[in-house]
Amino acid sequence: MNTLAARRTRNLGMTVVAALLILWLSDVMTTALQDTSRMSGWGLLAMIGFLAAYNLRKKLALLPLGSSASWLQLHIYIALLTAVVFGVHLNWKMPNGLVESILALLYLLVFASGVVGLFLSRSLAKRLTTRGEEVLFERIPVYRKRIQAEVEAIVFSGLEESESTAVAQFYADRLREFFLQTRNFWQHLVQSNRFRFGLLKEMQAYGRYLDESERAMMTRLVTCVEAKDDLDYQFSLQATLKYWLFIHVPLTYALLVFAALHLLLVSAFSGGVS
Amino acid sequence: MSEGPSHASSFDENDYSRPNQPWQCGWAAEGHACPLGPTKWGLCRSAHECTPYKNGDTWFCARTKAHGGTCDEGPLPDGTCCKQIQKCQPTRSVLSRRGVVSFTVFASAIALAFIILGSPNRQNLVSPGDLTSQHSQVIDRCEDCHAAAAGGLSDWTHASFDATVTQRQSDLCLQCHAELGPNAKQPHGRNPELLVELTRQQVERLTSERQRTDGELVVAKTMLPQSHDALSCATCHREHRGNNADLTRLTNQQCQVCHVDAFHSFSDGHPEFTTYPHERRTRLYFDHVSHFGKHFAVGESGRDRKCNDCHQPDVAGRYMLVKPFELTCAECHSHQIHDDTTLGIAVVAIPSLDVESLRNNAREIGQWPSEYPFHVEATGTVSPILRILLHSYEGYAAIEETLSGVDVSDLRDADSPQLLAAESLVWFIKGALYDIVQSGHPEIHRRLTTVLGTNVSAQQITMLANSYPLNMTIEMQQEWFSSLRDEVESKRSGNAFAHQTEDAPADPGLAIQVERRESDMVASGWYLHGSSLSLRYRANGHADPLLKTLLDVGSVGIGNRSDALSPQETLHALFDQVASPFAAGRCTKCHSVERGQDGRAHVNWLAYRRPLSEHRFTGFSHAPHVTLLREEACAECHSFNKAPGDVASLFRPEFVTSNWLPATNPHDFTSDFEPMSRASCAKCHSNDSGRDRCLTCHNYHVR
Repeated sequence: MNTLAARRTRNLGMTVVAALLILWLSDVMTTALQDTSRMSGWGLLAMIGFLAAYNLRKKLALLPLGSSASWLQLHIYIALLTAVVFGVHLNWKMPNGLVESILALLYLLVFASGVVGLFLSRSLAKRLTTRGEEVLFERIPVYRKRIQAEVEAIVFSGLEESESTAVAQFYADRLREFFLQTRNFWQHLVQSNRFRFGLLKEMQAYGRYLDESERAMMTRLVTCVEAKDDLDYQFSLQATLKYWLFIHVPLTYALLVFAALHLLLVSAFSGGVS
Repeated sequence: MSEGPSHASSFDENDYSRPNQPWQCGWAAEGHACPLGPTKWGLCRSAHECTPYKNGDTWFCARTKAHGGTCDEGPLPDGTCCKQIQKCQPTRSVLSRRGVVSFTVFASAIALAFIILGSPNRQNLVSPGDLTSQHSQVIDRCEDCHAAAAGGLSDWTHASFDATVTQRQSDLCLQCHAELGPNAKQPHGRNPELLVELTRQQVERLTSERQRTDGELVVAKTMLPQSHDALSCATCHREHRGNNADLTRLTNQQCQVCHVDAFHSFSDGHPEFTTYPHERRTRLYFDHVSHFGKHFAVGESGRDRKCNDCHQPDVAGRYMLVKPFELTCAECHSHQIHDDTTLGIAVVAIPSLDVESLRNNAREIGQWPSEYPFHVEATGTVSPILRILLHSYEGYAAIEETLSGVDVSDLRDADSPQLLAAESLVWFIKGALYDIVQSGHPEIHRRLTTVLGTNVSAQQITMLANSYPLNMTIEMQQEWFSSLRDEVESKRSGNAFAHQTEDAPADPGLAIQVERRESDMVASGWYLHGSSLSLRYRANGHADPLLKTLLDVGSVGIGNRSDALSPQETLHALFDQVASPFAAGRCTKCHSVERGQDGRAHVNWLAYRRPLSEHRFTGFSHAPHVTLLREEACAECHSFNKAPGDVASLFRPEFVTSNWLPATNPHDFTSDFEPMSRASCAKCHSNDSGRDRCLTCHNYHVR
């Protein structure tokens, strides 16, 4: 068993044990007529606070608060554990009240987005290494512009060197839009090469009607198409890896706001913070 | 992977890139970001490609090699760079955009929270869920149950740190649920000291072999509070869980965690029943064994009766009630109530006096009927009701004391004080009769109130006074005390009066009158009984109101009996007179008499009726069992503890004492039935059936 697998097994095992312990403790407390909602509520709030602090930890890189990787591991497994505490807190039923329903919904969205994010970071990161050149996300527009410029240079040079406009016509009809901006976001996300193969096949078929110099140009264009498609692939996956946080992080803030409101209400209406 | 040109290798590393800053140059996407970059507020700072420097009178280009080195054109004459950078529209970085979205969502959440808190409909919006249907019908404001709800946000914040909120809310619960009593917040609503004692008794009965030792329960027990702090209602009753939520649901585990006797299930470890459900004798004296063994036996009397001939479930189907007298006992027992072979109750009995001894000792008594020879059944005893009427005289108690142990029908050995007391007794009786004849019912009411007012209700006094037959009192006076008016008025005015000589013959007319009374004895109601010199009463049927009142009034004397001669003792005498199973009406032949916890006695006029407020530890509903078991239902659980042929004596000692008075201890008895057995219940109430919850048979709140 390699180190990563061992670590995952250990962490997952500890999480499962902790979850079982929480469930057992909840049963015991229920039996003892203790207020499990209060205990699980405080527990859940502390756990969510810790999870939210991960974002803070990333901003305070200089402080000796442990490695980001360790925080991420804790973030993942404690987040998984919150699902059990959340279920215990709600007695495994959706609440009826407005505030509680909003709060529960926010938690579920944050949790679900987190799980999705975990899945994406596990799966997309691997896929990023399998196709195209690994590039910085912020530089992708620069590279795309550069490819577009290169393609236009090829096409325009062809017009100057040859009287035929076949390649230029093909570019205008089929390639210009493709090179203009990022394309096929969702197809890349689901690992579909349908567009790429279709376009390349079309270019190959088109080559039969071209002369030698035009075919050479078309070959260079094929290379650019592949580069642009790989760049789109990188963009699609990297954007997804970045943009899932646009749901996860903002909703976490909303979750904290409504958790505070919920805490105020339950404390005032059912027995004080103590 | 395609084999196109390497992006990284073609990237100009000199291009300024700030992915971790909120704003990026708008030209970055074109691949030529300006070296300055935008301000932190997102404004373009573009100016020129360099800032020329002056050496002497000449301006020189200062563009760095990284940006192309010195330009050919050089600075303008005024020293400004000739290469002006075109302005851009800075763009936000991904991080910054996420920050904007986060802030927007955060601010929106806060705004929504304040909208909710500031809404006129705030109470509904912050409600965590619907109330149960029972509560939702009577509660429409949060402050009805929540102490903090009446205030605003600041009050809520303050209440959040107030540890007394829980108890104050429980107090609000109890404003409506006052029926739970003063100890409502204590376990089971009982006095904590009583619970401690019950626990101690339970510990003594514990048997280790059936005790549960599973970890969950053991750990849970350690979580229980060690002190006897008041519990809050919300410990068990969790509201706002929907219209159909079960507020009273508790698991077996939750019950057992407090109990020292923790067992696995009803069929495994539950303590055996001991006397349940026969924890006391029945309120109506009914010998099931003798009735079923003899009177209801087929072939004996032809009355083949079943349980439901006499019993029927109440409206809720919970308790089996006894059907009315007319549908059950009347057929066989009505004639005993109307029995005219026994004398009625002597309400007013004129004592037989030793007139000769009194007169021989110069005691003036005037006319006295007992000197006539036909009063053979008259005794030297004053009837209890007459005694009560006489107690309204201040000196009567002293007379009773003087005459204690003296038979006034034979005063030959009486000393002077006793003779004087007997004379006084005569005039008290005559005075009372005179006043009653003169003033009627108000006089009786006054005397009863004077004597019984503190112990007997006004309603009972009115009942007794109004029932008194005034016409018969007048007849009694006319027949037995014909010169009463003259005698009493003369006595009270201090005048001497003429009395009949001892040799005077009996008035033959009076004798005829008395004989007529004897022959006119009625089967029910009031009548004069001449031979016993008494005004008597026979029952007018079942539930005769006068006899009931006499017994109720007399039973007051049971709890207050003292050795001293007193009105209470007189009441006891009244009770003894009426409560005999052989007395007219025979009320106590069936209706038992018992002492309550306060020592006072009362007659059980009704069979068991569940009080509305009663809520005992154990409850049982007959309806589902009868439905399930049908014809065999009763005998399935209620089996006789004697053979059918083992007919009991007519009066069992748990109901009647050896001197023919009612036994008053309801717990000193032998049931007609065997106790229920746990095993018989467990046949159906097993683990598998799911009907073995503690709360199936037990109540938490006891009152």
